[in-house]
Amino acid sequence: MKDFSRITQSYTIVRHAMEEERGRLRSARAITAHERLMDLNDQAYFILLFAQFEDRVTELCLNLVRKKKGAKSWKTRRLWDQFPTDRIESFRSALPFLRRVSLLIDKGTPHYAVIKSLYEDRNRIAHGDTTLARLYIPSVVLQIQRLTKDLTP
Amino acid sequence: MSPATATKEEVTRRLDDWAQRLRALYAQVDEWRRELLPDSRLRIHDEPHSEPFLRAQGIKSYPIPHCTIEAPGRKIEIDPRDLWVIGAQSRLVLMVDRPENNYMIVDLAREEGMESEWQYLDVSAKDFHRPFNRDNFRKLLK
Repeated sequence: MKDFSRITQSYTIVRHAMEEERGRLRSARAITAHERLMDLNDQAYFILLFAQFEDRVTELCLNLVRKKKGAKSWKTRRLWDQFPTDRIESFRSALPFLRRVSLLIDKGTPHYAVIKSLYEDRNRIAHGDTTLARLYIPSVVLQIQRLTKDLTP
Repeated sequence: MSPATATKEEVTRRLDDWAQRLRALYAQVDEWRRELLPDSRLRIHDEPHSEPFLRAQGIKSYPIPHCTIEAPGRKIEIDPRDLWVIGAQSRLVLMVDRPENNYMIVDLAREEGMESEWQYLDVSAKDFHRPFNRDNFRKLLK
């Protein structure tokens, strides 16, 4: 989450400029076209903000697995030893995002459901479906901050 | 509920719930209007609403209530724009007199089924939004 607040700051500046630009437009058609640009801008920032969250999940999960791999008893260690922890890239490849999340919180909790839903939205946008998702970034920022706090031991 | 996994019945139920929330909001706006713009009249009318996720469910459009306030030399409209919004329960646009004078209003109810919490986007505010209440409505009308 090292760049999360900088991304949020950047969003505020860009959104402000886009709101001002919208205020200068006079025709309903131009305003609608501009609002579409604002939606796309929101989607781009959503991807950046979610990537910060994803990075934090990986970090927390890696710490957990490393700790478990350090257990004295092989019976405790044997499951955790399956996960490569020497390089973050190999760890990420071995454990897809939602599996990493499920190592940190119970899959039956509402928080897990929220993360899963955000992740599905993120995937749709990242894979080119920019027509479906409308976003309200201020809430997404608060939501991600809350979820991060809940995941942190 | 996600648009990708929702059934047609769930989507219809959510649309009905939205229409009900909007009517409650308009009743509130009507009270503010009587005090702030006594010479005005408020009209609520259904308009066909369409969004990509509705079309994906085979629903071409659905009637959703819009609100218009007319006063001598003034026109204020509330246009329900999107029901499916990541981070909010829905978003509306409040237009005050001219198309360029518009504000985004969002329902920040934490979950479906919870009471609506209407706020409007103001990037200069802490957390980016302010409550959509009588005092702020009065400011937006100026």
